[in-house]
Amino acid sequence: MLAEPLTPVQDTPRTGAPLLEMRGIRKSFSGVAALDGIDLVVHAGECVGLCGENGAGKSTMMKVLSAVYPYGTWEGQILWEGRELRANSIRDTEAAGIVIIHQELMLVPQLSVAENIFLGREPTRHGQIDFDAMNAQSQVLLRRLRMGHINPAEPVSHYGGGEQQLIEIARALAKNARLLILDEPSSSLSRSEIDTLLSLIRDLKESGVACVYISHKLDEVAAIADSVTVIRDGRFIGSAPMSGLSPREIIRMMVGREMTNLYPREPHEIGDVVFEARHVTAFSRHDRSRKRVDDVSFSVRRGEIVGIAGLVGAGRTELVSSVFGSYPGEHTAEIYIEGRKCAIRSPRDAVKAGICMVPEDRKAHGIVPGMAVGHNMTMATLPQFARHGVLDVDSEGRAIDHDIAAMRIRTASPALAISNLSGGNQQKAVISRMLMPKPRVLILDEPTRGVDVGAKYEIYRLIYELARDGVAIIMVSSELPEVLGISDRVLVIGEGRLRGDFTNDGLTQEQVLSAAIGADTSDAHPAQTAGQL
Amino acid sequence: MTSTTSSALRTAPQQVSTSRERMRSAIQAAGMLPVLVLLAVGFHLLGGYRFLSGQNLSIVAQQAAINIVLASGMTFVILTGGIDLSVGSILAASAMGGLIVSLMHGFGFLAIPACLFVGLLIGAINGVLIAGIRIPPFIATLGTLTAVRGIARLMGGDRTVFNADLPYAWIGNDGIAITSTLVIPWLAVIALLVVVASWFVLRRTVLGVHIYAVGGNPSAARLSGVRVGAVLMFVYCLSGLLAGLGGVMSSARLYAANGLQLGQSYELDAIAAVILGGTSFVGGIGSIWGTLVGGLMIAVLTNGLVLVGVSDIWQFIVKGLVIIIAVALDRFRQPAART
Ligand SMILES: Nc1ncnc2c1ncn2[C@@H]1O[C@H](COP(=O)(O)OP(=O)(O)OP(=O)(O)O)[C@@H](O)[C@H]1O
Ligand SMILES: [Mg+2]
Repeated sequence: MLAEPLTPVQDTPRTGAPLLEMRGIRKSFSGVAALDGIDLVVHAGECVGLCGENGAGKSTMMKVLSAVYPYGTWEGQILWEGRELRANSIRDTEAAGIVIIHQELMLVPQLSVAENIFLGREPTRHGQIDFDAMNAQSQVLLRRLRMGHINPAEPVSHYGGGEQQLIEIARALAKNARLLILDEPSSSLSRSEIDTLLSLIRDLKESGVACVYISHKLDEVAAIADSVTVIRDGRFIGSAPMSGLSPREIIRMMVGREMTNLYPREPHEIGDVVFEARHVTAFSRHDRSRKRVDDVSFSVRRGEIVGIAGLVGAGRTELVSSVFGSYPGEHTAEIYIEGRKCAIRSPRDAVKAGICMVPEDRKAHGIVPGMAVGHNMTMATLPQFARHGVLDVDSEGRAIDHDIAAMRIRTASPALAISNLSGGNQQKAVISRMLMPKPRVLILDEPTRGVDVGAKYEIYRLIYELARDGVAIIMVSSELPEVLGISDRVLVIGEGRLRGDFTNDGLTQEQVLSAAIGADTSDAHPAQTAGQL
Repeated sequence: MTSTTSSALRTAPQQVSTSRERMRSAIQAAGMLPVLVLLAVGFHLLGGYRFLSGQNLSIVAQQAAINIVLASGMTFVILTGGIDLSVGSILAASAMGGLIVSLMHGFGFLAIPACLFVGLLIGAINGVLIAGIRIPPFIATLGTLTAVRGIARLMGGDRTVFNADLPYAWIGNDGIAITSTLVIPWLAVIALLVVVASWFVLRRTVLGVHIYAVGGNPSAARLSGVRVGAVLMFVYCLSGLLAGLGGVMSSARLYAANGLQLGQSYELDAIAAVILGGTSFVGGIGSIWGTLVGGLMIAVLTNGLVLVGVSDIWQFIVKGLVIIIAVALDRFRQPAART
């Protein structure tokens, strides 16, 4: 799974004081320890990979460092260039040169790209915002990120998730960071965007900027990090130079045991066709003459796992959300369940017909942030736990407890607001919400985004269990190894069209990739496309 | 955090967590309750020990009742991330309707249903505008605030409608006598019933959870198969219905209704009660108990300031300041939510 190691790892012994030293950091939330004595050392120009399972405490550690949790709300010591840092707010840490890019995007969608980049530090002339200077400087920054095609004057909401992530990074660069913290920056980026990001970090390292890189994609960590620090359940497990480690060893440190098999593929019975979508067409929301999905038809059998692969922006999400009745733009689709035509005009119709979908963007479409973990899980199936609209709190509670245990969701209590959970645990809660209606067809759009290896394995196992029970599964994923690792059949989407329908029997990444970019399978260029998805 | 507490945390995390958790949730549930008690005791001491008498307390309860009923409906609306500015006007129109029907010979028994129907009808119009045509709630209800005020004036020919033999006047003037001095007014009983019923709907029914879900993330709710439009329709209908009930209550008290004056700016007191009660203005977070306490605070302030002898002009100023300070304190008390 490891991409070619892109930087030769320097193992030069460091001299002089480190740029940052965090010692024995402890932090607890209402009595439950989230961090229990973690150390972290970063030298100037060094990139440290911070690894750990969902809920291990990575984001919390970085929030301590960047004073999202101000000095005094945690214990331990932070030394910045050898002196103790007691920051009360993000302003203080940013003044020192510590800049954090949070796991969840923090852009103001209505403001322009440039306004977002310079939010709070707008260049002024005669007391007025100097928009020309702001746009020009933004343009320079964006070019550095090889994002010259983005217009700084346009609202951020006009750009997709990956582009927004890079805009967020441009914003961090504009702050003259000396230590850049990236909390899962790549989860919504395409392969080429990730490459841009990694080479940018490499440039920054050369100019002396240090960084802390958090990612569940260990191949990225391997490619960019000079050393790795692993935490588990809020405890410090170890720190080591990258050169001495393989992703396999990092995984072992993270989960505390050997993981022999990443994809628990099992033989299972595949029955008759249960689900059929014919002539799915979806138009762009902004430009109604542009088709995002162009006349795609496909079917799925009982117990079959169909992976949908394609490049980011190929129209996979548009395809499945049109099927589910949630695509916001104009779209048409004929849906048949067990041969019977179903009119699906809304997600509600779809759920009633036995089709459930776990959406791609957890924050925007998945969680209800202020609501309890439990209600987030039962939201789609509440009538099951009710008589005449009145909830049977006990049976609801039992179902919640059961699923929290079965999915191993790490939460202090089912009544805790879901926004307090780590990203991966939020994802598990959203998945379990869509399993509760016991769907006949389950659509999973990027189900393992931001999920750690252990939880990924559990999600895969769950998918297999569902398949064994006869559920038809459609899984959209940008991670090709995952698609190939668990699907029975792979559909390839390119520019809104169905470009390939392969039985996953010795299927290779190259075959899928050349179908995705529209090349004839017979003259694929494996060398050029390997690892590009 | 001192090191002693931290070592305690590590030795018995579970124990500490539960007792702490319990304390925190107790504080959160209590919300403004301490402020309310403080205000009451303060007025008692400053106002010649009259405030906490049985008689005065039942007056306070009566004064609070109508606002609490309106604020209950407002709580539902604000929980979905909306607002209903029209409740004061609806109250006036439904009171007019009730009085007019009560004056019709032989139809007096329909007066209360008429009030409720007028309220429900206008609430349904709000619901259609907001859930159906998707006009932003602030604008839609600003429109009905103005238009319904005009209708209320029109209904009585822009004059006060009066009925000395109002069949349901007991609602506004009688109560359950506990002792010779302590009477629980029916108005207060109704308000309490509304609060309890609201709690039940919000916390014990499918609809209640759906209301929180729609307010917290409408998109996630829709993708989970929640009928977002129906939920919005319900909350505006309910707010209208409760404003109609408010019309019953205030006309019962006055034996009269005036389309121009009745219910003027009641929506502001209702919103203030909800906000004092800690319900989030963007939706998805809040509780009806908070609204009850908030409504009581406003009534205590109004009554107490009169009792202490503060002039009319200063009453406004003090009331406004207390609302701002109370909410500011609340922000300060809650753990910093910075991300
Ligand atoms: N505000 C909070 N209140 C209560 N518990 C919290 C809060 N924030 C974090 N936690 C808990 O602290 C633990 C660590 O969370 P954190 O977000 O740091 O995990 P993470 O390592 O970043 O995981 P992920 O990879 O899923 O993002 C989790 O168990 C989480 O539930
Ligand atoms: Mg995290």
